[in-house]
Amino acid sequence: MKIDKGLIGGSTILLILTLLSEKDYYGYEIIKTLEEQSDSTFQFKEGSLYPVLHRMENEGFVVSYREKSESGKERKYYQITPLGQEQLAEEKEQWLVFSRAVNKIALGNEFGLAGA
Amino acid sequence: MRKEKWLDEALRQIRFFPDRKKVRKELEEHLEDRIDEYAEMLEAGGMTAEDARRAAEEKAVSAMGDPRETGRQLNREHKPLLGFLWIGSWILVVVMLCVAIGVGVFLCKEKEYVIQSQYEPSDFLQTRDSYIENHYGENPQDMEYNVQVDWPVMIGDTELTFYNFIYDNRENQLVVLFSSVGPGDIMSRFPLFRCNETYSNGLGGRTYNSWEVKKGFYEMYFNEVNKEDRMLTLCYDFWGTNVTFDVDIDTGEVAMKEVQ
Repeated sequence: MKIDKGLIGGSTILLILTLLSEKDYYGYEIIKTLEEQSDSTFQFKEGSLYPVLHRMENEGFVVSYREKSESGKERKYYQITPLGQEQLAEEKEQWLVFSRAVNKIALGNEFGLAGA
Repeated sequence: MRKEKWLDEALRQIRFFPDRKKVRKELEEHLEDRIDEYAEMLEAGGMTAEDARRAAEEKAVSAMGDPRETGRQLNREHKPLLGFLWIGSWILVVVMLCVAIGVGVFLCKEKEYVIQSQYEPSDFLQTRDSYIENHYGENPQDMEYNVQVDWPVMIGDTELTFYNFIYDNRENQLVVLFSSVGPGDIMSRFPLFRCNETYSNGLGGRTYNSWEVKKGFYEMYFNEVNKEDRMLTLCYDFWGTNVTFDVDIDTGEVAMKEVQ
């Protein structure tokens, strides 16, 4: 099942920050990892990742640096900042509240995360 | 669409041109990684390398989406006004640093100048020995006399130390070796030296570079002093102060006569 691009849009920053909280990634790696970890549920126009990354950099959630990747080629890596960590916690909380509400209404209490 | 065309289209949307190069690089690297990945898959499926590459490029570019849309979104993150302000502030920082370094170097030079003339008078004793060894080591008889006094006199902030009074038979002149230690260089104050009512014919300090003479050590010549004089009366005006003292050639004794 492919998911509508708009829906992913709202959670893109949450997804990216979650990945970056584990290790530093470059753009292509982020897309590959999201693809793999979501069993290809998340497929968006790849070009749209970069404006998001650049916005996150402008807002201070991430910093970037260039370094050789495993393939030996130099790539632009992104690293989460303390501000980004804070943002991640906030986004997670928001997502939880949001998804709980959606689940409650759309699926009824049995699928809600009320007990989680 | 070819990779280059996609990049051109996207980058054209970014008005802040100084950022274009590095943004293009990042996007190009992404495309190349994708093309490599797809090409490998297609080749494994039996395609020739060339065909696989072309098809992979097409597929990778298509996966990127609309270049203009991506470009427009990127443009929003690379605002010209902020960008140019940013660059401007960096230029300002660099200029300020250059000025600060310039001032720093200037101040250090000034300080160095002062330190150079702030040797202890005792630092010059070896210089004096080298001077005599160099000039008269082989022919001591060239010295009619060599009176060592090592006598300091403080005038204001400057200490003058007189080391030797030598009569040179080759040049028929009196040579006085002395040092000047203080915040300023005596050469810049132009004191006028007299000896037995004759004026000094020269003040030198430059000829000793080869033996690393410290700045502040000088030799002074008097051509008209009589070789037979057994008492030398040296006198100089120094910043409004007149100093006069006698040197007894036979005993080496120094007597201050007056300071005015």
